[in-house]
Amino acid sequence: MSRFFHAKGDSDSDTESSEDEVEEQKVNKSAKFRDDLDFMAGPEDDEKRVVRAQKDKKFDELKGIIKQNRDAKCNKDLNRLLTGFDSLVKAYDKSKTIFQRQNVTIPRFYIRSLVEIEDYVNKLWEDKDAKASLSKNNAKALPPLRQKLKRYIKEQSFQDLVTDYRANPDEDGYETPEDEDDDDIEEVSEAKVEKSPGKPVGKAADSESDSDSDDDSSSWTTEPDTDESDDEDSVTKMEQLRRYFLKKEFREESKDDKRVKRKREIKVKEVVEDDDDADWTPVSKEKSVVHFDPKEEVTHDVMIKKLNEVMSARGKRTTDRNQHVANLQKLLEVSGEKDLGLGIHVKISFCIISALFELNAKISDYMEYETFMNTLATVNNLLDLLIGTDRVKLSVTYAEEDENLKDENEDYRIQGSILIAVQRLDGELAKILQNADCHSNDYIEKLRAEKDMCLLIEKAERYVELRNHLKIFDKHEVCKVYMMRIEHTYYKYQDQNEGDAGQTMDYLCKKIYSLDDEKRLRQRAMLCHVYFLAVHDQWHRARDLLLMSHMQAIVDHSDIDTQILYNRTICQLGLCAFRHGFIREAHQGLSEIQNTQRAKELLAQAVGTRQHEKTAEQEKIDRSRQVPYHMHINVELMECVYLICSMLLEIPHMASCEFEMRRRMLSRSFHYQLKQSEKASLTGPPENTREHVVAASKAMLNGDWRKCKEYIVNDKMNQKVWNLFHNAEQVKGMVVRRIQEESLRTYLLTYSTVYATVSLKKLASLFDLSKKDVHSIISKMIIQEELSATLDEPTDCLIMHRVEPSRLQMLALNLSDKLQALAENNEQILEPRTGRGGYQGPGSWFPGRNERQGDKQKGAGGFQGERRGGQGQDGKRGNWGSQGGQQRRHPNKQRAF
Amino acid sequence: MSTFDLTQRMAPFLDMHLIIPLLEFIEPRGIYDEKSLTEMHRQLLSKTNMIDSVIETYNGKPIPAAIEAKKKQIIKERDELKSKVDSVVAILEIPEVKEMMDNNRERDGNVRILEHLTQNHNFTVDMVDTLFKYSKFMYECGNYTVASVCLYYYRNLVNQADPNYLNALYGKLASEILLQEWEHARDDLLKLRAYIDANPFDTEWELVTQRAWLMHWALFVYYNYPKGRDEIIEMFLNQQPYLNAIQVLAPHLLRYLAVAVVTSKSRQKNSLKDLVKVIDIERHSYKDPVTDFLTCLYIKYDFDEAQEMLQKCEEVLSNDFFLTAVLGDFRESARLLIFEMFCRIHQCITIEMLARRLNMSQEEAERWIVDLIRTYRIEGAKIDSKLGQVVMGVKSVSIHEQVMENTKRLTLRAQQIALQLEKGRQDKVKAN
Repeated sequence: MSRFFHAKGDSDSDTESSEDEVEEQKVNKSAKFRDDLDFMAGPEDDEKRVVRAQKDKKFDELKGIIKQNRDAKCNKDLNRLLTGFDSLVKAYDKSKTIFQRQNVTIPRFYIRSLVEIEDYVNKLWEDKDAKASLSKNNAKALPPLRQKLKRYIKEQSFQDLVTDYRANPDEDGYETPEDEDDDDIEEVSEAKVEKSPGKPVGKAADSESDSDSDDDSSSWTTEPDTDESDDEDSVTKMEQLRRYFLKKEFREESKDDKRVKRKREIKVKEVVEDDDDADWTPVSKEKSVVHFDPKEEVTHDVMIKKLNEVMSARGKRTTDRNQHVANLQKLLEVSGEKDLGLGIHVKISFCIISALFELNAKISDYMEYETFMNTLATVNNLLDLLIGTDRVKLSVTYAEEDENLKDENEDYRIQGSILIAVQRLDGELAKILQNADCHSNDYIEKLRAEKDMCLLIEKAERYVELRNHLKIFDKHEVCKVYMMRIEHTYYKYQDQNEGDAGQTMDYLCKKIYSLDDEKRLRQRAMLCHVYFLAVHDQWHRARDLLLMSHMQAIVDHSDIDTQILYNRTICQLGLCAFRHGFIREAHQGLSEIQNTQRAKELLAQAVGTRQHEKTAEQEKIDRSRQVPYHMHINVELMECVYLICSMLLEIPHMASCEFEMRRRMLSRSFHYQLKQSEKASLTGPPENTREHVVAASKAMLNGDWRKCKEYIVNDKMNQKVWNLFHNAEQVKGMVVRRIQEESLRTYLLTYSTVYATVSLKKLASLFDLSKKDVHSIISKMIIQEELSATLDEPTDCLIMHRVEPSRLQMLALNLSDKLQALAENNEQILEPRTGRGGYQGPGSWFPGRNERQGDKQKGAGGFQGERRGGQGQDGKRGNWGSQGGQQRRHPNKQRAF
Repeated sequence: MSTFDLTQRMAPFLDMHLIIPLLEFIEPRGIYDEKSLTEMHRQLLSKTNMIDSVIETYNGKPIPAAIEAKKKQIIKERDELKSKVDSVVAILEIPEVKEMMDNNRERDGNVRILEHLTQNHNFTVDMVDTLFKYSKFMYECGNYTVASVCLYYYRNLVNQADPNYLNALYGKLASEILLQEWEHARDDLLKLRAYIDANPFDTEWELVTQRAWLMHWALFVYYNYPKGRDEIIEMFLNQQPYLNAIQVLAPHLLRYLAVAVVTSKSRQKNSLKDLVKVIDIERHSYKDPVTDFLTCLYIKYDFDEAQEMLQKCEEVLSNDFFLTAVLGDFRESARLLIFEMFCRIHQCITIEMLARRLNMSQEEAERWIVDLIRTYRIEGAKIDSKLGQVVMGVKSVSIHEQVMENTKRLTLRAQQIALQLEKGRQDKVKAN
């Protein structure tokens, strides 16, 4: 509980920015909640234990290193401490992802150890005598260790945590085991704190600099971030003392601090120079850059010069990015006041946009939502401006020298591309959504931006179409704009009477088909188009388009994003086929993904479980590929549909192959489920969808269609499966009908040895089908030689001819089958069948894919016929999946080889 | 009734002159509104140079002055062209030249003849163009004989790279079709097909379009040529690229393909399965009673509906320009297919039911069945006339027969493989 109170204390001391406060209060609430929960839960439940194990391992590892570091400290072995610190950082980096996944944030003991090391190092640094007494080796190790430590804390934005810790440190001898118990409470609070480092710091910086600006002697105004940490180092001792004793008066202190800081400013500089490190040179006069000389008149030239001056700071490490943006905005304001014309205005706006994008140092980081909205608004305004006037030409084709910013008589020419800005914005939105918690309201909040984004893209498209004749756009850019619109449209279901999304989609895709020279966008557009058609239940069109695109043949060679899109498209197409009652096709489409056991991963809806095989970098890439939550395909639904399809196909198949030695399985995962349920010693009523289907399958195997139907169509399944289809009733009807038919087939196959004759009328009433349907089903079975029977027309009876084979006969049959297969294989090797491409190495051994390559347009039937080509088809599909997965998993490795 | 008429769907793939016979065929059938059809016919004719036919359509009503003027202009043009061409034809009809042309082989690319002519007979390249223009003009005027002769010359003078070569081939084919010279037409068709299959086109799309055209034109030839129906199967169904073209551009051709398959005696067995597969795939984009008949019989196994469709088929076929002639054949073959299906499924069928299904009287049906059993030797089928039934002999295969059947050919196959291996080895030895 003590932690909880501490947290409260924190919030008191941190009232510098009001937003922080809010944040902290939330923390308190959730912490409390957690606490309560813990009380109630008592011992942790099972699920948690697994999680723990992994976390514990990592914790142990970290603690081990920390302990070593402590030893090193006692022995004054700085060299060891240095390496120990390195390995600590590394170990922490590695385990960070795991912590993140499990919502564990920076463990407190880690911070403690950092602080300990820091204190120790600083102590040594200040204590000249001690320093002198160090051995040569150790003396050498000291400065780099100090540097590293400082930088690390800064880079990871641990300052807050460190200060927090300093504010209320654990008493000496505070032992680690207890830490763990506290972690739960702490996790939450720290997560929040960690999430918002950029913002509060920025705010703080702003407010600070504001207050400073009164002070005209700006000589000391260093860049806030550095400032703080620098101070911290030099003032640690004092500060620490203070903070130990003055938790609550921290805020008042801070003002004093400033004064102290000022006094020490010069000292700091000295220290910095001692350090001999370029990184730490203080940047001064950042602020004053924007000020124009009041005597000078602000003309275009002056403005441009100023702009260049500001822009020259761009990208430098020392530049505070927020400040940079503010500077530019100031410039924009000035230019507006002085009425310097559109050219300048657009140019500066454009610079602002780029600066906003650069607020994040790392490309993998996502933008703050506020910043994003800000950027969106800026881009939107700029685009409005550009649409409104045709005097400004913004293009990537202009060189910087060609720019015309001031001559009002000519068209303004500016280098840059608004389209790329839009595109980048789109990327940022995706990143924001990827990183948001998809089950929270926060996500929905952020999802609203998607609509704005769509509007913006539409606007961009309009702009492109308005100005396309000016030849200011790169072809690729234009394609990208259309592509973006497609990517924001293709997964959304729109009712027929709500407008003509279909036409829009057609239009957009055709634009890309005609514009794009390199195949990639075209492929993607095509897949999106197929996806769209599949979502909108246009099965035939979707199927034909997919087959004509030859995607199955080339997808293995395309980039991973396209592969993901392909997987998603295939799944969606499978669902579409199911809705239309094309069971076999649906099964085929879905089995590509479902048979691999890694459906979520292949659809990029979750990061794979085999985390430890990946490096942090790969994992990051993987994460960046994840599809935002609102685009997810319901995997449970998909699995259920797949299992139902498997049931409808496999059960009659099983019944017909009863006497064959080795059955050919259509669906491995379905058999796996069946087997699992058989193994269970006690079968209760089905709980989840999977169990429902398995139970239904068993009923069907016994020929009891009513029971089968009850398992498939009931309230529970309605809720979980059927209601998710927009034409639920229709689909349910279709499924029930199929169940009746397949049950009849199964029944006939299973009991054919029992009956000599069956009357059609009885069968019809048994399965609740019309006599005509029964007749047609039986006819089909007879023709396809599944059932050895004949109909007797005058009496309306089915006469069975099937005799159960004796064991010897069965063996003989199997033997002859095998011999035949052997002969066929031999012939294949010697003289490959025409049309199968011949034996060109192991790759083409399975005919399936090859055939598909060859005669695709045959077309349309391929979805069913062609893929079934090879015996090893099932295995092959499985292969495909894992192959894709492997590529996905080790892209770097492959390159390295 | 017009729902199943294909004239409108076929027209885009045909030349205007070829559409005319189609229009003339459907005019008396009363499928379409008569007035609009005549109007359509007239418009079509006025796009050609066959002024006299246009005038005919007015049936004694006053003729617009514009048409009279056009007639004069056309006659004038014809005279001009004729005067130019006469000299050309004169050269080409010298016996020596003629002989050369007849012995000409495609492979030489016609260069030799042209060289010979320019050297010995003052022949200029311009003359070739004049020849082409003249033949085109004559074709437009409806003088197909002249057109076909001129185009024959033209084709022998120009090499394949010439931009008009394809046009000339089409023109020649159309002329022969309209002259009803089926033998010649067939040769021309083969030439045209060879040219198209060599794919001299820029885009895939054009290739597909050309194939679709070719298939439509081929209907004229093949449905008027004794063994044509087999050739339709060969071309439409067994050639993947053509089948693709049907699926992509002209699914209505499936009707003609289906009729060809059903009525063909020699090809039916092998092709039927493929055909049914294609029809099944394309069911969503095209269906008519003919394809539905096959769907009912082979996919739905619904004999009642098949029967209904068969009745509709008669109507459709009798109103189809190409298919009227094969109606009898089709009916007969379709019945046979139904009966065959019955025999495979049933052990015992009443003749009365069969007669109903086959659209015959009971007596007729009995005779028909007797004929069938005799001519096609349907195994084990007997008529029990007392009960009015057809009884099939049960031919359930016992398991040891099954095993024997399976293994019978294995020895032979193994031997063949051994022989082949041996041969391959020897070849290798020889090669070394």
